[in-house]
Amino acid sequence: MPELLEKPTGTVAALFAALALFGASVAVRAIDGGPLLSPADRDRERGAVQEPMQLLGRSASARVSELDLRVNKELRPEWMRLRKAIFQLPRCPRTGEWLDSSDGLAFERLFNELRRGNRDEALAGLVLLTEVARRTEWEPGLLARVQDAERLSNLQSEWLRTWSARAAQDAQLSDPALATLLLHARVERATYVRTIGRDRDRQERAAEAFRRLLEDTQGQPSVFARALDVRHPGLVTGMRDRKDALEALDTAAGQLFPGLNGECK
Amino acid sequence: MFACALIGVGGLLLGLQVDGNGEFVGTGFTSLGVGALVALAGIVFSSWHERGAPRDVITAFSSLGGFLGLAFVVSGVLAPGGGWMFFEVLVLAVALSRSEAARTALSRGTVILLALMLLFRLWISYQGSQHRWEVMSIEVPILSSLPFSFLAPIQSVELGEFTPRELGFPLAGLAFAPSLALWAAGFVLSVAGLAWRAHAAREYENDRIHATICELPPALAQLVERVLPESQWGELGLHGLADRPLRKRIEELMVARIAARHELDAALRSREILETTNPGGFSGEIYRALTQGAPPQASGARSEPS
Repeated sequence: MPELLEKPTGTVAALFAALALFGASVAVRAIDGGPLLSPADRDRERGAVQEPMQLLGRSASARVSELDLRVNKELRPEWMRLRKAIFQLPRCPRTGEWLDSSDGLAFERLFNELRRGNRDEALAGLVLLTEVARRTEWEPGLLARVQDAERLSNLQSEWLRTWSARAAQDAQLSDPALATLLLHARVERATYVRTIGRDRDRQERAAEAFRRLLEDTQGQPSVFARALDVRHPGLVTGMRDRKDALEALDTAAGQLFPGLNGECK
Repeated sequence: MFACALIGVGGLLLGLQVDGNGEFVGTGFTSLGVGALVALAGIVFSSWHERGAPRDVITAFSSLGGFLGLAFVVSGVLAPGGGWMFFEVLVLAVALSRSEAARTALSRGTVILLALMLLFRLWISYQGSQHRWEVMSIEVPILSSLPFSFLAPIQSVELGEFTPRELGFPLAGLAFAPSLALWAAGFVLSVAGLAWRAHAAREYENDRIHATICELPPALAQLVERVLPESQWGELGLHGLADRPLRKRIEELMVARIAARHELDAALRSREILETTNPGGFSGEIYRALTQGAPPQASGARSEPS
């Protein structure tokens, strides 16, 4: 060590810096990643909707009125009127026919207003859209009437385009958004899976649309895709492994929304 | 020292990755442990016949830097786990044992091999970040074009499958782009640091040998440096020797080289060596007559008239 004292100060400083760096190089390897948490697992925020997935379920009618006060005052009367109308829709009309009715047109206007609002309003719009999917018929059937599924799919796609990235980090919206993605895959598949064969162009377009939702600009999994992987492990890999990328999501949607298959059963 | 600091920065970058939450996560101790083992084996086997050893703080620290640098680089390029890693360990152990690690740190071939392994690691990390858990997938002709989902298991062949656990991915997944930048920069800095360290160590040893020779009177020192040129000091085994063995080695080399020089001079001065250049025939006989005098008397040969 004494000969060290004879060296230039810069050399001694470099020696100690290198020693510190060697130590740091070994120590950083022990840094552990944070726990695997879904946004919905984070601490509850004050004023957030409790158990938002219940509002997308079969018994949503029991809680939907909780959202009345969360919707903008200007939209509230229309919201209250339409939620009653939708939650009491009789006879399972075709989705396209109902959307063309006066209530359907009002719903589309309200839905788009809610989609552009805050996260409570976004959830309110999603609740209505899911109920429309449950109470109207969009199953193409043997005659391949895909227009109903297409219109429903377009509404879901618009909501996801607006909210997927933000919802992926939102404790209130993450689970409903992911559930909507799965349901969207189910509805989208209805537009291209035929009784015999499938519409390849439509399938490729759908796969591309989902890729845009689940990948960032560098082709890496987006925040939304990572949230999906945390909430539904293996689904993203399942999409890669199958020729029909949406099939895995459709299967998961079947488990999450039993009976919601476009036939009002 | 600066080269060691560079190695330290490289090792720091190679020890980190960025997870899906954008946070830094360590790459774990498994790959570092294996890398250290391979580096140790490489250094021990490649310097088996070397007699040098660190003698002071500077050379000891330099040796530590060389070992750690090699361990960081090897751990940075190894596949993080599974069968791939052990295959790479075998290849690297052989390559590093054959290279002159003690003298040149990393040969050009070894650096190319390490760079190829780093590329492989980056490729499988990329595949994993895309949720593709195989090195590559090849579609089976004809079968892959049939639209039947029950054929899916035989429509493509997956080569080199692995799992997220084998890749050592963080729980929140790997953010590939920033991790790639960290690893590539770490690799380059570590390799550059190793090369710089080896060069600096050589210079340091040369300075020490030069100082030892300069203890002789100036004219004599100049003669010794002409007989033992600086460019050969490493090959002559002068590097790394302690003071007394260094002096003894220089003495030995001087005795051997001067003796060889004397032998050569004697041989060159001898007339017999010119025999080897005699072309023979008429001109050869004249040449011999001029250089060696009269030829041996042959029977029947006429004597020169008086």
